[in-house]
Amino acid sequence: MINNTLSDIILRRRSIREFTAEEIDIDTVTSIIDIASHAPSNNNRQGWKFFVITDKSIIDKMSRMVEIKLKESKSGSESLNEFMEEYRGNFTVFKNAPVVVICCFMKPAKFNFKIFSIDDENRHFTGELISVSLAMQNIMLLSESVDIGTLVMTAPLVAAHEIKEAVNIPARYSIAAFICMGKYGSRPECPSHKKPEEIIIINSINNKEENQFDRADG
Amino acid sequence: MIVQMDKTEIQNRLIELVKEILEDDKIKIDPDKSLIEDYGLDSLDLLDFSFNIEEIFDVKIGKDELSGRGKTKMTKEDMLDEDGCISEAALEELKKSIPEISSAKIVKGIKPGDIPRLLNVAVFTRLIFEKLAEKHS
Repeated sequence: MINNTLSDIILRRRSIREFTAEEIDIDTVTSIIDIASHAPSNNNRQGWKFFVITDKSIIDKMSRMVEIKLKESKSGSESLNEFMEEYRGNFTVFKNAPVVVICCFMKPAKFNFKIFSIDDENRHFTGELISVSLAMQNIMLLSESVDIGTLVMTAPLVAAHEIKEAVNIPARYSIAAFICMGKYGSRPECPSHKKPEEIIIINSINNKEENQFDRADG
Repeated sequence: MIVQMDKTEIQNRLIELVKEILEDDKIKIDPDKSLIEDYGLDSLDLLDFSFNIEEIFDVKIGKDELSGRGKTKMTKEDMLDEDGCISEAALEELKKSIPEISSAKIVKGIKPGDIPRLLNVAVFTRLIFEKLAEKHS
């Protein structure tokens, strides 16, 4: 059984949605991101950028962009529209955070798409997105280690184009997610957690049909 | 089959290609500036750039040419001094084989792995021009 400082931090991290007004030292934030960016990346490309927003007016502007996008986006279903009306507040939770880190990944090199086909299962081109996600997890765990709460949000991406322009994110980068950072007054309860047997499958094999991959000579 | 193009045509097409890779059609690309150091391309982008060159111009730019060794006839080992840096003799050869790169950047202490960082549109333009001329001769 693993039981050490890292496992403690992983287990105690929670998604924080209510931050105090306390400012976060920018040097701490940059130090966290610097260390976090030692995450593995495909081809060591380090194809990520982190836009750190501490200016409340920029955060509010991004929030308004998301709000406007939500107002513009209506579906044909009245029920879905009602559901979205209740849910819309969740899209702008980031406006309460003292720090918002816009985590971006470089779009994959185009030759990827010339060699292999792409479909819902074959997502070989997502290396940069996976890489920034690994760095993002590091950011959250390092933040937790110094009692800074975090929340990952992809909902603001409904206004990704507008936010990219507003924050001067180069065209060849896409936003993966926001990480909100801040001090928190209370820690949420541990949410339900799936049991190991629900998520871990060991040595699974389909023996119904023999095929070319079953023979050593291919 | 690509007909022989002049250097300006080749250069303009390469500049378009860099803009496509950077997804920025407004950026001004100086042919003499480094693709990696000045425009932020990385090694995968350079690969992409080379593959596209092959498709567009029907010529292949080899690794030796990109390392500046194309014309020197030096082996990789010949190029190095005891510290693994490019030897002084090899530096002089490099200055001749890739004249588009400022000699101020080809200085003692650089390693073979540093050469791709210096490559610019002007180098690729000349390499493509020479290869197309060879094909048409």
